Amino acid sequence: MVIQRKVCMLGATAVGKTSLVRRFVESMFSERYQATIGVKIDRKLVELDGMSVSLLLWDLQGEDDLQRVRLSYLRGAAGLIFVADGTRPETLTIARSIQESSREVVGDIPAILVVNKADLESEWRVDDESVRAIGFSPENTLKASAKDGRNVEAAFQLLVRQMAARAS
Amino acid sequence: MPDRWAELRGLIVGPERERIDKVERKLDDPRLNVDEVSRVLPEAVQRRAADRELGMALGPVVGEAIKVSVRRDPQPIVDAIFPIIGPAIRRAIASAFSELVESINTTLEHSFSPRGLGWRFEALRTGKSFGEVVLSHSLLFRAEQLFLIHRESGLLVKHLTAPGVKALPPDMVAGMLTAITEFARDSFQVSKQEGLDSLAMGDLTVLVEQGPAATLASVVRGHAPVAYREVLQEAVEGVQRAHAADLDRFVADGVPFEVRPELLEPCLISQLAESKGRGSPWKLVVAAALLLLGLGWCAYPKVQASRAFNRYVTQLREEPGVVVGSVGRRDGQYVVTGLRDPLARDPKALIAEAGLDTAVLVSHWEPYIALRPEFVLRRAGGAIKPPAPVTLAMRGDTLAAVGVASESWMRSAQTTAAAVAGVGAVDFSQLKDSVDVAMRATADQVEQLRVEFARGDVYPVGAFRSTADSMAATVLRLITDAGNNRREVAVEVRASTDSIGNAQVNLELREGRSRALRALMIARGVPSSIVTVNQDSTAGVRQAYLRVTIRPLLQGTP
Ligand SMILES: Nc1nc2c(ncn2[C@@H]2O[C@H](COP(=O)(O)OP(=O)(O)OP(=O)(O)O)[C@@H](O)[C@H]2O)c(=O)[nH]1
Ligand SMILES: [Mg+2]
Repeated sequence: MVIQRKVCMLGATAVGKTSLVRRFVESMFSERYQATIGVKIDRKLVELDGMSVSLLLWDLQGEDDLQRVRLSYLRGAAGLIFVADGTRPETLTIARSIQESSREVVGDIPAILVVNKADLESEWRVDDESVRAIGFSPENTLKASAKDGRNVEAAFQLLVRQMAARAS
Repeated sequence: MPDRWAELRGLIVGPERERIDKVERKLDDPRLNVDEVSRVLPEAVQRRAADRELGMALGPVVGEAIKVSVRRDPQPIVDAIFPIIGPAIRRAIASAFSELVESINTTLEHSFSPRGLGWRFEALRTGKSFGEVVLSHSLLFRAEQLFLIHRESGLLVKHLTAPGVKALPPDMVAGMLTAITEFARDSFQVSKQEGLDSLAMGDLTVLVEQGPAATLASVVRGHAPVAYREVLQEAVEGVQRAHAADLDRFVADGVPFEVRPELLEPCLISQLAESKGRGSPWKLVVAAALLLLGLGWCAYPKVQASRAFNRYVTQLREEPGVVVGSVGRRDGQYVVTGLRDPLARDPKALIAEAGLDTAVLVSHWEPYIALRPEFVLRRAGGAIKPPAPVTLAMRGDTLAAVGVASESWMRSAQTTAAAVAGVGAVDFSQLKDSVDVAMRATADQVEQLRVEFARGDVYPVGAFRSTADSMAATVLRLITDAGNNRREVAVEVRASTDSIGNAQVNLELREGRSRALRALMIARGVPSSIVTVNQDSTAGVRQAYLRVTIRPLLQGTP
């Protein structure tokens, strides 16, 4: 039996949502930036405790302006991944405000924060303190890199595990 | 007394009496009888199962029983037999379709009807089988895929395809359909209940029917009748009714559920175009056949010619320096027009190669200048006519030359080449001046000559006079050549010693020997101003010789 779950990727523009999905689904990365228009849907089958989960990944267009986030895309989602870019502190704030308004649509569903571009950590302009201040619990926060692949698999696994715990 | 008898009898046979009463009651009460029979009936039937008599006895009864049951409530029977009938119908449809394609293939295989030829051409062009092409033209509509989608999340509940349809991963398609609906709703601010009705591209239409919790999308090829919408509506309503709880659970835990097949199957239908003019009298059929045969006969050479023409046009398009503009047919002739560089191959030469008849071709070529490197090179070559030792090449848009040429040619070629269309720059830096080359060759000869000395002496020995004569004569000739070509000549005298003797002595010997040769040169008319003296540390040989330098005369020198 394959269980289907919808997961949405949210965050500011160019933080690496599409790249994280691409790394996770196709194990590939590209330096080229191609902004997502609307939404792009991908699928990946993951195994959890002997159960198959088909993840439908909704990679949403990044928005720096909260007013323009299309929250209707979130309906029916079972989990959310908020993505920020460690080299741009303002993307953390944007992730935070999108998360707040997302509650109105989906309520309190499993959500994690991925601070991306960890391969550039020497150039990061956010420290652990400011990441913590965003309000995600430390165990729901990961530093990852779509470029070198670190923690990408782990991030999705973490979310899937939380979704499974919520369902049972 | 009789009372006592009765008492006695009661005492003796009382228990038996009771048992007899019980048996009597059992035999009389039909209700208890049924209980008894029902207890043994299954076993009894099982024991006689092999017996045909029982089957024959039960046959009419069972038939009647089913009739009565269906009349009362058909649903249980429908439910029971659907799992068998659904796949059977599907298999029958699939095989009917493939048979249809096959029979169309064979009946039309040899037909030369214009329409048949058109379809055949389309099959060739698109790479589809002939049967498929015919089918696509005679099908009114066909529902190829059906998506039952959970409305809110866009997760796929069920996907059905018609036989022979290849589909993309349906769950991604379902998600995308939902996203598009969502996008349209957001963008055009319609009420929440309204949604996307249909999407159309080419002869494909996606019909979308929304229920409160489920969306049904049907991918249709051709034009579906209005009634088909109603079929979809009914199906969505049916799913909503039958699976309301399943749908709720689905969004909560993502666990798939089996949709009752009878709800969706009716949506996967198709309708063939009616064939017209059936049952024509045989004479008409024969006449029509003859006519078609005739058409086919005429059509065949035309098809050949059209193929040859297509080949010709394809070759033209690949030919460097030829640009095909318009291609078409006029008054029974093929017409092709375009541009042609005068240096390109004559398009007429290609006609024969393509097997095309010149009589059916009208072509018109406007001259133009192609900027392909090979054409620029040929044009430049024609303009500047390089002498044999010069090779030309194009690097980007730069015309580069290597080899040897006269200065005057270089000067004129430089300006001419720069004016050739397609030449952006001219690079002659790798080109050698022919005067320099000739003078250098002469100088090399002089440098080979040697004047010999005896050990420890600064006076030349041997045939030094004639050697000095030819040295001086050549140098003088070089001086004259240099004067004519705005160049100047410098001569350096060098001398060497053997390795015997001490360094100071040898140094003096080298100087002495150099000066001796210099004196010989000056005595033979070489101007003293251009002859300098140097040493050579080559050990082991006692000789003196010349080094000649030729350089352009400095600007402003008279
Ligand atoms: N160095 C580095 N660059 C990354 C990483 N992830 C993404 N990028 C780059 O960041 C840019 C944006 O990546 P995307 O994945 O397109 O970003 P996005 O969040 O999908 O952007 P939108 O679709 O516009 O919202 C691209 O040039 C990526 O190559 C990472 O982990 N490290
Ligand atoms: Mg993107």
